[in-house]
Parts: sequence; structure tokens; C-alpha cells
Amino acid sequence: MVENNSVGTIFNIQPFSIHDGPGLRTTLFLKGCPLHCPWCSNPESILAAIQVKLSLEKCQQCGICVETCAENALTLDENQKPRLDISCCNQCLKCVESCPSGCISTIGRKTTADTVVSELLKDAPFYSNTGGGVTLSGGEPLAQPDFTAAVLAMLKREGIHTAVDTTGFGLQGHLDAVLPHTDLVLFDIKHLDYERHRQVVGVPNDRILENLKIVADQTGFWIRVPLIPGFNDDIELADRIVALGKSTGAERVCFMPVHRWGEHKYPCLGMPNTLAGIPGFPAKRSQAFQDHFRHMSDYVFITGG
Amino acid sequence: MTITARSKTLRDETCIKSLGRISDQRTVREGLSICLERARIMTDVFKETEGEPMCIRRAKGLAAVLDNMTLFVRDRELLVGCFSSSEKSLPTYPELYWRWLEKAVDNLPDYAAMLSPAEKAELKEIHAYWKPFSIHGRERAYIPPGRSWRIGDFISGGWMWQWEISTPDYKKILRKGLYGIIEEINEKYEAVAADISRPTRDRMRQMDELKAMKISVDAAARWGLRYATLLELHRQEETDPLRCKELDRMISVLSQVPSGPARNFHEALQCFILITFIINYIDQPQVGNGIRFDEVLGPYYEKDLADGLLTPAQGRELVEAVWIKMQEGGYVQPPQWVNNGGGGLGFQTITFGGTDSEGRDITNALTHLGLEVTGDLQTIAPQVAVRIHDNTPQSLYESIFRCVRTGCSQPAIFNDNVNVPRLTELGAALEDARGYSINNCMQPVIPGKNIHYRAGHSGGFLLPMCLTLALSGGRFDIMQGKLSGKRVGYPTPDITEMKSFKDVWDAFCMQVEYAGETLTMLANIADELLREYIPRPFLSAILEGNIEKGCDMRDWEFLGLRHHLVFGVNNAAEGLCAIKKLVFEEKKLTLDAFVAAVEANYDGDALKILNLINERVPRFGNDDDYVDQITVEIMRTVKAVCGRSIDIYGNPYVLDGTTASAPIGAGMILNATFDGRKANEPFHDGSISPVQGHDTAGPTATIRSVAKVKTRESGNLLLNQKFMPEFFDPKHYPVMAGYLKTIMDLGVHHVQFNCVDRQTLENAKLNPEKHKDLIVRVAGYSAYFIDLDNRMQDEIIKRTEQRF
Ligand code: SF4
Ligand code: SF4
Ligand code: SF4
Repeated sequence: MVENNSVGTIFNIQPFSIHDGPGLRTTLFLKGCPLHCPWCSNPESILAAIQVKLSLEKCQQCGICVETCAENALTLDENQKPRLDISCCNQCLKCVESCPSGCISTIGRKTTADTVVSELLKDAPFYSNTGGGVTLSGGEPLAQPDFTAAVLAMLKREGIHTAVDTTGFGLQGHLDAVLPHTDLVLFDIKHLDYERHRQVVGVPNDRILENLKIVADQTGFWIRVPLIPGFNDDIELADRIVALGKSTGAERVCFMPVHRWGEHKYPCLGMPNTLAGIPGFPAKRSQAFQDHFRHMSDYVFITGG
Repeated sequence: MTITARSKTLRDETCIKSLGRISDQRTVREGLSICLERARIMTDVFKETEGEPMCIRRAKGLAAVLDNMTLFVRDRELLVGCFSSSEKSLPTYPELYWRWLEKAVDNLPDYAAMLSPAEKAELKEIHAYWKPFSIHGRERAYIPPGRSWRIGDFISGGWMWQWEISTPDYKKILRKGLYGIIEEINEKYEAVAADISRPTRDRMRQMDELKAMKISVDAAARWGLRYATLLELHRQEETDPLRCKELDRMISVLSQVPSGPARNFHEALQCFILITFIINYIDQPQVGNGIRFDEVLGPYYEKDLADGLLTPAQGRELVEAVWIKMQEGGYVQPPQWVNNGGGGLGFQTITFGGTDSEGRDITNALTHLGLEVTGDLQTIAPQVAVRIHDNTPQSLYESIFRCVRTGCSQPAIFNDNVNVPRLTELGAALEDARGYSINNCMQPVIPGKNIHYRAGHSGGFLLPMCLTLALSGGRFDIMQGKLSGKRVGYPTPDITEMKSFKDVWDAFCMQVEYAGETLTMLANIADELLREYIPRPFLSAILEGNIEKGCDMRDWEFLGLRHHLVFGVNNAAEGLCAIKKLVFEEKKLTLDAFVAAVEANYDGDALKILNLINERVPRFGNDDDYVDQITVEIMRTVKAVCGRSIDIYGNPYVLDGTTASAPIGAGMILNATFDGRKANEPFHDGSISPVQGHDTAGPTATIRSVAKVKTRESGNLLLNQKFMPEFFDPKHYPVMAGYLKTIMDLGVHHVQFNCVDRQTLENAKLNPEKHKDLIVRVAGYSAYFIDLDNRMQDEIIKRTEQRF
């Protein structure tokens, strides 16, 4: 049963997206992800709760925030500027109001399906003229199944094309709730090897691969693969993923060379900068993928990065 | 295809007549000079013809200039034409103005450098003759004492005797040739001369006017033949056999046009250039152009291709030659105006796309070629406009995007679904309205029709200053930035009497009304002076209806399109919004304190108020009704004021929202305003674009805000949007076409996409505050450039570099 007033936590509504499915889209980013990929460019999406973020350009080093924090999540660094450690933080958000310079803000807000849908519908004329629609991304939309299903169902009722960008890591019941309202699934595959997947991403991939079949049975989907140097950037693996795509009936397979554009966010969130350890994806390597898949350029896409 | 080496050389060697760039102090490009030939010949004729009817004097003046001016041919150029004795010079028009020019050459080194000492002496001699007659200055006698009309008080305006717009019937000229037009004049003349039953005064006037038309049209026909003769001399000295062949062809072209009909593409283009130069530079300084390039010239191009008379490469080089000729144009501008016009360039706009009079799409091979050349050649002129309608083919969208992607900020894209109904509402027949084109800084015009506007006085509502005056009882001291002192606006109530937002709003409307009254008075005086002293027989003969009526174009108008401009509507809206929210709703400050903060330019303690505005006041462009509706209401008010203002032909004024770079110029000299804009910062660019950096909710939200301001309830409003070239990658054409269609569906009048280049990105990195609205593509989504951290910005700058 889909409830219009079911509540979800989101952290961004991004209009004018042209890479999250066909046409011009608005992407709704939901908060909370069961995976923790070290290359994550949206680290603010991982934690399900509303959290705090520091932007210290206007910081007067008054230390008020540090005094406010009862958990010692905020401390002063050697330059007398506050430093956040998310592992101690309990998201009480008291520090936000305490700062006189407005340096501490929250990421994420709770909203109901109706509210967010009315926001998403504002761009409806753009969707219909471009063959676009709305994409739910994250985080992991399946981690908030009721909210996700409610938003999608309401969009469908308005005739909007819907897409869900998912890690594939979710319960079958959640998939069953979401898929009937979804036109297109953007299904992330990070690796086909069970152990490698588990080591690096934090969860094994067996459920993901099973869910791929469930998705394939019910709706159109693309497979999307973030290309990470030294993790999954070998062509042989790529061939196998493409073969998987073909055999399961994916509409296309997209390889997306990793970029490091989320790196600056980690310290602001008080998170260890795992992206620092990920080398950039060399243009040459990207070209090698382009060349290798040239003969299937209407099926395999390598994004610009 | 890339541009030919010849085009590249000619383009690069063209002296850009840019008088005054905003970024630096210089007002005149080095090497640019003033050519006195036109002024000298005109003056001699006027001395000789004293006592004759004014139209005859002007016709004889133009004829003498065309017969005697020095002609030149640039090295290896394919299309010829000139308006002064060298490519590096500009004529002057002493019958229009003398005072500011004399002051400028006396006092400003850049202007002084444009004349030798002997020429300066001659200029003064010429001016000595014109002092009593030159029309700039005559207007002062007609302004009521005590009426303030100067820029900055509350209107923006000036005596722009050199800015006039009208688009002749090029199709007819090409079809009949000027000799064909002379036949028409002769027939009419004989009929009028014979018909003594007509009222005598009319008959005499008509005979004079028709005679004047004949003198000037005849001279224009001879002018082409003079060029043919000059080319023959070049031909005799030419040794390169290839060039000899070209010259032979050019001689044949100029023996045919403009006197006779154009038989092929080359002749048609050559004819167009000569006529354009005469009406826009030699007869009078007239910005605009307004030709529907593909509609008028496309059939010649396609026929030549089909007949095998022209290869695509030859056709392309000829189009390049037109663009280069357009780039040569320019005017000497008064020093105080150079920033407002973004330079002293020719502002020649040409139009592509749209429909025929039946509503059928007219896109042809020349449409695509023209846009391709625009993108590849990257000349500063012409400006290019494209009309979009329901049946615009996908291929045209793609040509547009290809052009936008080059970063030339062209074309401006116009919505037929808004423009055609707007013109019919103003009284044009549907068939005529469908033939509209875009002229100058983006006004609609109907080619060939007797429409002439923005004549002597061009001015607009300086809306943020109207708000300032609403809070000062109409008093303002521009030097001190004080809301007191001399009364320049309407005596609205003192702020101590303002108890509600409505009181402020009412006072604001009064100031707008008063500004409208002043603007109308000034523009009408200007129009009457031009009607009396500067008839235009040549242009009259090539605009529909004048031969038939036997009267000058200045004696009537086909459609009332005289307009008043608007400046800074969103600055004003946000100022009103700040007052409404902070003073009357949240009571966070008093009107008194607000006025004091504005007077203090938000410096010192007043900074707190600026922060308050920045934090709490909704900004236009984010689909927030609270402020958007204020913008809508202001536009309605201004439109109503325009509607009550009547031009000298009895038609209401229209609101014009296309102000080129004027908002930058106007802002640069003006004091702080209530929206949090500090002194000397520009007003927002484009008449309806959000204030720089205030649109933070994405491009679609901006479109939704803009769409609330209905064109039919306001005027023609320009929206500028900036994008990374990436958005216009061929793989995104279908999406961008859909985006553009949606903008049109939502009723936006016209839009311009700026593709951002590396320089801008670098500036944005250094001055993020000034580039808050810059959108870039980051991996899978788009982001505001200034939101990205430095390394990311560097990364994008690097990527942009690779693409150019
Ligand atoms: S699945 Fe996506 S959102 Fe979740 S951690 Fe990995 S990269 Fe980040
Ligand atoms: S939100 Fe976290 S950092 Fe802020 S006060 Fe609470 S525990 Fe401390
Ligand atoms: S309270 Fe704000 S200004 Fe003071 S140290 Fe913390 S972040 Fe800096």
C-alpha cells in the first residue's frame, strides 16, 4: 500500500540532469546507502540520518561549536579551527544553531512523498518535450522502500517517466514494492567477484546479482559500472559484465570512469577521505575501453568522466 | 569546413570599430580615424541648396556623397562596399550633432587621435556652419523648465540621433533593381503632377518628395557603376590570373546591381551590402539591419547550386564575405554612451528561420550555412537571430546548437508563438506579422514596412532608481548618493508617512508614471525634429507605401512600435521585496534605517543590513512567487504606462525589454539600490534575466520564473542563460532541442545561450560572487561552478581548454 504522506530523507533535488536516464531529468537524491565504496563522490549520501557539514570560510575560530558538542565530535585542530569526526557524532545537530557565523549546516531533510512530488512535477513540461523524467538516486532508494514506492507511484500517475538508480542491494520485498512503478532501473554492478566485492564495497554481491534477475524480469534496465583503477578496470571483466548485460536483457551497459570530484566533501563531513587513495582514471585507459567496445557503440557506452 | 585563408586574413585585418570596452579605460581602438569626406560634401551641398525643400536637399546631399566619396577595394575581397574613405575610418553626421564630438576631440586623447590637426580645423569649420541647424541641441528649447531628464535621475536615456531602425524591402530591390523602383517613382510623379484636383499643398509636397526619391535612388544606382569602374582599374593592374577571373566576375556583378535585378547569389549579396551601407552608414547612421537572410537570399543560393553556377565552397566564401563586410561597420559614439552600447559597433542583426506569410517553415540551405559561418568565423558582427516555431525542423535546432557551442553567444532565439501574436495585437495583419524579423538589439520589425523607431531619443525606465525616488519624495543627489536634495522625480509622500508596503508600492508607481511622461515627451520631441529636418527620401523609396503615398517615411508609420526600454526590473523587484519582507512583515528594520544603509552604500554598520538582505530576501529566478509576482506587477505597471504614452503618429508606445549591455553601463554610474546592489555594480543583464548569481535553483526554475512574466502583459523580454559547451555536445542535441521547445511552449519571448569559455571560468574561479549562476557539467550531473572546490574548477577549466 502506497502512502502519499510517507516520509523520506532526501539530500538534494538536482534539476537539469542529462546523465541519469533518457532526456532531461530531475534527480532526487535519497539519503542512506548500505554500501561504502571508497570512491564515493557523494559521501553525504551514505549516512541515513540528517547530518552536519562544516564550511569554514567564515569561521572566526571562536570555539563555541566545540563547547556545544557533548560528544567530542568537534575538536579544535592545530590552527584553532574546528574539526569534525563523524564516528563520535550522534547527529544531535546542536552545533548547527550554535555557530554565530553560519559555518555549520545540515545535510538532508525529511519530507513527505506529496511535497517532494509536487516539487518534481514543476519541470513536467521539460520532461515531456525531451523524453525525460525523474530519477531517484542516492544513496540507495531501496533503503527507503515505502517512500520510494510512494514517490514513484505518484509520478507514474502523472504520466512521468521514472527511473531508479540502485546498487541492487535490497530485499526482494522492497524491489517488489518499487518495480511496478519504475520504467527504468539504472543498475550498478561494481564487480562480479564475490570476495573482491565484499572486501572493497563492504557487502557481498550475491544478493545484487540475484536482484538483477528480478529486475530483468520486471522492467527495462541499464547496467552501470563505475570504473575504478586497480579494482575493476580490466577489459576481461568488462567483457563479462557486457555479456551479463546481454544475457539478462539490459538495454545498455555504461562504464563510468571514476572521477574525484567529491573529494573535498569528506573533511567537511568529518569522514576519513577514502577517495584520496583512489587514483584518477587515466584518459588513455578510457580510450582503451572506447576502442575495445567500438563495435558495440550502440550498446556499450563509456561516459566522458 | 573551415573558413578560407582569404576570409581569415580579411577578418583579422578588419579594424574593429569598438569605441569603448567596458573592461578597460580606452574608448577608441587604435588606428581608427574619422573621415570628413561625407560631412564635407554634405555641408557643401547644404550651403548650395539653401531655400530648397528639405527632402530635395537631403537627396542631393546623399547623391553628391555617393558620386564623390572615395571608394576602396580591400585586398582580394569578393564583395565591395564602403561608407568612408578607408576601412579604418568612420564618417560623421554634423546635421545630427556637433557639440559632443567637438568637445571629445578637444579634450579626450582617444578622440583627438582620430583626426590630424588640419582635419580637426576642418571639422570645426564644418561645425561652424551647422551650429544653428544641427538637430542635437535644438531639443533643449522644448523641454519645460524644471523637468529633470538626465540619465541617472530616474530614467536612462539620451539623444541618440545616430540610432534609428527600419528594414527596407530587400526582396523588391533584388527583384526589380533600383531602375525598376525609379520607374515606379516616375509613374507616380507623373500622376501626381497631372492631378491638379489634389489639395495643392499635398500635391506640391508629394512632387518634391518623389523628386527627392528619384534623385537619391538614381545616385545609388550610379554608385554601383562607380564601383564597377574602379574594379576595372584594379583589373588592369592585376597580374594574378585567379584574381583576374574574380575581378571579371565582380565587374559583371557591379554592372548589374543595384541598378538592375539580381540574377544570381553573388549579385544578390553584393546588392544587399551596398543598400545596407547606404541606408545604415552613408545616408544616416542607422543600427539594425533586420534582413531575413535565408528567406530573402536562400532562393538565389539554392538556385545557383542547382544550376551548377556555384559550388558549396564558393557559396560559403561569399557568405563569409558578407559577415566580414558587416564587421567593418560602426559609428563614432558620444563618450558617455560608449559603454551603454557595448561599443560603437554597427549592431546589424540578421534573422534566420521562421515562416512565410502562410505559416510554412522557410528553413533552407542558407539557414544552415549562415549559422555555420557565424560559428566558424566568430566575427563581432553581424548579430544573428533565429526564429523558432512549432514546425521548426530538428536540423535547425542542431545548427543552432552547433553555433552556440562555438562560444560566440549566437544566435538569439526568438519565439514565433509569442512574437507573431504580439505583432497582430499591435495591429499587424497575420501575414505581415509572420514575416517579422529581428532588428538591432532584438526588436521585431516587419521587413519592407514603414516602421521606424528608436529614433532621436532612446530612453528607458531606470526602475531601481524609480524605487529610490519613491523613498525620497522624488529627491536625489547623484553625486553624494543621498536620497535628498534636488527634486528630480514626482513629489511622492515622505517615508515617515508610509505605513504599509502598499504606500511604498504606490509611490513607486507614481515615479514610474512620471518617468514615462518624461520619456514620452523627450522621444516625441526627438521624432518631430527628425521629421522636420532629416527626411530620408532614399530609404522612403525602398519602404512599402511611401512612393504610393508620395510621402516621406517620417510622415506616417505602418505600425506603432516606438518603445520605451526597461532597466533593472529584477533589481527593483528584489528591492521592493526586501522592503516588504524586512520592513513591513518581519519588522527587522525601519524604512529610515534602510534608506540610511543605501546612502551608506551598505558599508560600515550597514553591512549588517546587506547580510540580512542576502540571507532573507527571495530572489527572482527561483520560481518563488513571493518575489516573482512583484516582477510581474512591475512589468504590468510599466506596460500600462507605455500604453498611455502616445507617439507623434498617435500610437501607444510599447515596452521594450532588450537593452543590450546598457544595464551594465547604467549600473556603473549609479548609487546603491534597495536590493542590496552596491554602487557602480551593474544591473542584471538582459531585461528579464535574474540578477547575476541570484538564480540558485537551476535553469528550469529560472525559466519558470521568467515564464510568469507574460510577454503580452509586458513586452519583448530577453533571457540570458549560461552553459558549458558540453551541454551542446551533439549527443545532447535532442535533449537541448526539447529544452528549447519547452522554453518556447512556456511563452518565453526570446532566449540566448552563452557557452562559457575558459576565460570566464577562470574569472569565475577568482570572483565567485560574480558568477554564481554559471552552470557546469560535473560527471553525471550539472552543478554551479562556484560550488566546486578549486581543484575541481581547475579540472573543468582544463577540460574546457582542450575543447577550444
Ligand atoms: S553505492 Fe553509491 S552512494 Fe553508496 S557508497 Fe557506493 S558510491 Fe556511494
Ligand atoms: S551534531 Fe554531532 S558534532 Fe554537532 S553537536 Fe551533535 S554530536 Fe556534536
Ligand atoms: S562556532 Fe562557528 S565560527 Fe566558532 S569555531 Fe565553530 S565553526 Fe568557527
